[in-house]
Amino acid sequence: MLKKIKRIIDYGKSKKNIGSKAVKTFSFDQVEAILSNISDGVAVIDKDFCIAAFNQTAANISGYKIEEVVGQRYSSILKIYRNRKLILNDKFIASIIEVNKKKDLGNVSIIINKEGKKVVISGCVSPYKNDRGSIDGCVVIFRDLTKEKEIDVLKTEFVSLASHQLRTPLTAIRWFIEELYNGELGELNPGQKDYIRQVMESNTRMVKLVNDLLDVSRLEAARIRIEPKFTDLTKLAKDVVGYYLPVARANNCQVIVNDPREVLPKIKIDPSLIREVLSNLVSNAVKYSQNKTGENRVLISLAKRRNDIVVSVKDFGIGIPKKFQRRIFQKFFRADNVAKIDTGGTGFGLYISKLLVEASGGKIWFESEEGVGTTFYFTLPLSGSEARSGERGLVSEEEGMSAKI
Amino acid sequence: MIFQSKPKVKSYKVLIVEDELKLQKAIGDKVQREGWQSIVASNGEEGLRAVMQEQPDIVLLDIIMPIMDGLTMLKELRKISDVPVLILTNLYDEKKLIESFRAGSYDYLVKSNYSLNEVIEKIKEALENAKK
Repeated sequence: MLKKIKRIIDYGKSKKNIGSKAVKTFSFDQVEAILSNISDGVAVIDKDFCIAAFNQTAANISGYKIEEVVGQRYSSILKIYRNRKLILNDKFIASIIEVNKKKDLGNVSIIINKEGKKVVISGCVSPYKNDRGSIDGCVVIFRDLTKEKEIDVLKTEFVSLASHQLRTPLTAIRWFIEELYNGELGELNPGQKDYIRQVMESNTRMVKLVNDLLDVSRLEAARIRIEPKFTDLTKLAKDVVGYYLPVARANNCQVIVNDPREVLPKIKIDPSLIREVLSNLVSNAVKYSQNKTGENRVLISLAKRRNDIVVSVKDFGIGIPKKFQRRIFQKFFRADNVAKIDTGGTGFGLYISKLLVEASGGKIWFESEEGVGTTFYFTLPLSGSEARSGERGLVSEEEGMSAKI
Repeated sequence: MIFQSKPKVKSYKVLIVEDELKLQKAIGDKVQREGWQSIVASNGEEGLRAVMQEQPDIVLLDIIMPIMDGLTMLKELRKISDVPVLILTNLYDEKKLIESFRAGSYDYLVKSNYSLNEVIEKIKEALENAKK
């Protein structure tokens, strides 16, 4: 948007400079008319940190009248926060003018309007040059996201409600089918039993999809609670591995947690969320360790780096084909070599893991070669995760809910 | 013959308070195959009435139901009876879970995570503990 305006202004200038040959120049009024009709808020801040121009949309979003703000210091008008911190400050603007580079204000930032109300916006700040080519100040462009946010909330609520509603018939299917399969209503012949098993497996997959969908909708809407507690990550990893031992044994796979070289400090993270990440990574590693020579291993290592702890889950399995590597953290995505082995996956595991690691203040990535193996890494900050209030934990975590209490 | 009832060890009377007819039937049939007696109610109000009239040995209780929800029924029920109550719901909500334990439920099971056999085991466990 800014580029467009700049182009328009530049166009006007260049035509003016040509003078007699000018076909059409934009007058100041015309530029103002264009600015006032833009659906984004535009504010120009000069080198003295005062507002030099303000369009109608900016006035609508901020609640101030144009004539009220022009000439005023920006800081009393454009109070823009990101993650509860004032982002648009003198330092921020000075750095843009100095470096001559555009900077983001974030996709979910807040502007406090004249009445003191919070308005969700996204925006960016760019430097602008005067006639002589030197930077004269900056342009703040911001967009009101209130409507988008409302739609987002509706979407999340819809998914959440739909998931709950879907679970009831799925439960009915499960209960009837299991009884049939168990021969409670008379023995089935092998063919019947096989078909019933197919239905059962599809049903299980559907339940998992619905649960994952619910988790994703909560995670995307940042409605998951984060309760950091001092956690021994090595112990957590061993717990998770213990849970997967039966599956690993069935796959002829050995899962080993390497004891770290030095004792790792306990860090403040939400163990239920990181348990889910580890579960996803370990279960994938075990599932996709299909080495034909017969010996399958999964190695889990933990190490301290400067500011974080790195956890790695290494397998010697089928690997991720190069052409799919870019898409591996996308939701619903499943590489075709994986889909052949395991028909029960939902394509949510890594997407959820990424959301969880990032919500915990860490990063997740991988290295992989087809036919050789894959290593997933994730970090968690030594300083711990930031707490977040939210209505609930994960659905997958709640499965064991009553057992815990 | 639809039901091949197992030899009766002891006949219990199980009250199922559940608004979904399909689930009512699935649990009810299973309970009968165990050789027990099943009674059904479709909401909390009917459930309370059934407790008074039928004196069940155990109550399986859904949470989200029309007219009177499960937790309201549980609180009312505790004023008149100590019958063990197993919450059987599809609602994942820790607040409800804690509320139900405070109100005196025996356990909180999320339906889609349990097979009917596991539900039966839970019923037996609750009845065993109730005897003590």
